[in-house]
Amino acid sequence: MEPRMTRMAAACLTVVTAVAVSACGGSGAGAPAGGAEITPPTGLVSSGTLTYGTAATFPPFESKSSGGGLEGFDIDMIDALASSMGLRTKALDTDFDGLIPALAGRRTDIVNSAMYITDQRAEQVDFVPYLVIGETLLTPRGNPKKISRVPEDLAGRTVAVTRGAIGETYMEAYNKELRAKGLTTMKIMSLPSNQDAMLAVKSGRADAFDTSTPGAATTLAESDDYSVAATFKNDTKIGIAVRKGDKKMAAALREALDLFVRSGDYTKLLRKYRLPAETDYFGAAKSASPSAGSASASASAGS
Amino acid sequence: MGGFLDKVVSSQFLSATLLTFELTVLSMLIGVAGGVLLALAKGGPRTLGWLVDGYVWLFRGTPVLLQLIFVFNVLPLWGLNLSPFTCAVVALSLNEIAYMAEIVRGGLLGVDRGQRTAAHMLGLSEVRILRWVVLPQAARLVLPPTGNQFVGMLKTSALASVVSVQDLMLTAQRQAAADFDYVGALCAAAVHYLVLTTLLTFALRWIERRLDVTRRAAARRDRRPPAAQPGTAALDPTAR
Repeated sequence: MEPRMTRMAAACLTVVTAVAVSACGGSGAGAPAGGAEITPPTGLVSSGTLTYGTAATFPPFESKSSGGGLEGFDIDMIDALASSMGLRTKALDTDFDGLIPALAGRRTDIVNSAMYITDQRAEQVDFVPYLVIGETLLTPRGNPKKISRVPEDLAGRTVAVTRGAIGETYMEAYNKELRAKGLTTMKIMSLPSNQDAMLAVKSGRADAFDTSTPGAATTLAESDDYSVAATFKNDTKIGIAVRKGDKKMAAALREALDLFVRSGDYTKLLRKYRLPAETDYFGAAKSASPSAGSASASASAGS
Repeated sequence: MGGFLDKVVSSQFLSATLLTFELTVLSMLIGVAGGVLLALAKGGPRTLGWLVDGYVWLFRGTPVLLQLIFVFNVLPLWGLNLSPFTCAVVALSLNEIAYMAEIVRGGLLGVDRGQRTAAHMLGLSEVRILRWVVLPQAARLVLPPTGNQFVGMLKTSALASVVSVQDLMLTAQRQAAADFDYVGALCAAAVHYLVLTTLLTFALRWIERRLDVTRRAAARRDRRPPAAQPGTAALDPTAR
């Protein structure tokens, strides 16, 4: 009995090791090292690689491509930023609400998933902002429930949101407002991904779903099934999240972003994904207030 | 630590626990009833037996999570739009029926053939044989594995969080996503699950004891007026 157990354990170990090794070898879609313009931060989860967490269900920022990989604004951007540091990239694709724990637990170096900068999140992580966007409520085509005023028209309705995403927080805050006004609250349907929320509207389970304004534009471009009911919170900043106090990583990203913007590639990327000019964080920062140029996460945004 | 205790007694977690309990009990009741029917059908005509085999093959051979998401996302495309809670009950009980059918079948096989034959000789009808001879004996055999399934179901019900059922799991996840206190939220949910599984275990043990015929007989003996000293009870001819 004893020796057989040992042999079995050894066999298991061999299999596990083989899988682990092949998993490491097969990954890393980004550019190889060499020609680094920016000193990469030290202490990466996996050396020579920028490991980022993403919830790839949020087009046009990140989604699964038909080829099985990932695509979107954030994916292209992080590949460019990492290559200017001479790093490869590796994505950890997970549910949105698992991104910050994965970062805190050192499974990833950063969160690169169109994360909105809010007070609560800024207490957990540090942000390097790169976009400004708003929220949109999409309903079935023709807006059968006539939703336009937020939050009054949402009273008694069912709204689908992504679990852990900003929409959930907004809707809960709106429910407080509704309650304060003596109106019926809405039913918030928390689903694992943006796609699930979209499907909930299509299948008639929810009256509307909350997504980003560019996300809504992508959805409308691809499908005739939805209408825009309302847009709100139009000045929300989006940022790459780094571990709290990880100044080196934040500085390297800021430097790489600066290079990315100056080279004109940022504007090209905005155009590639048909993001409107209002989403340009850096252009807006230059013309609005000079102090915003420091690009430190302003915790006042979002909530 | 304070956050954790506040969460344990918060109304969100308490109502979530109630929902998890409802989901479990409902799915389990349907699962047991369906399992008994399927197990009995298995003993019927051959084609019926094949159908039962097919059912068990399908629902035991695929993940519950797949079945749940199928019911939630695919049925509406076919015009059947159930609430998230109903979807969860449907998926969990369909799966449970497959397991219970096998457990009950095992219990029926465990009843000695001689019992049926003896009941026939006494002139009991098939239905009565089932009701008064086979099922009571099978129930004792089936109870421990059913209890196991019950506790398993309580935990499997956490999958319903994926289809937006506000159960303990989703409540913990939403709380954690809101204030990032993962330790507090997950531990609070764990406490509630443990309380439920503990209560369930006690309840099952109590039922098991009640169904134990030998114990009942012993209890009846004990209730009789003491005919002799306790030590000689076994020798007392009136004791049997």
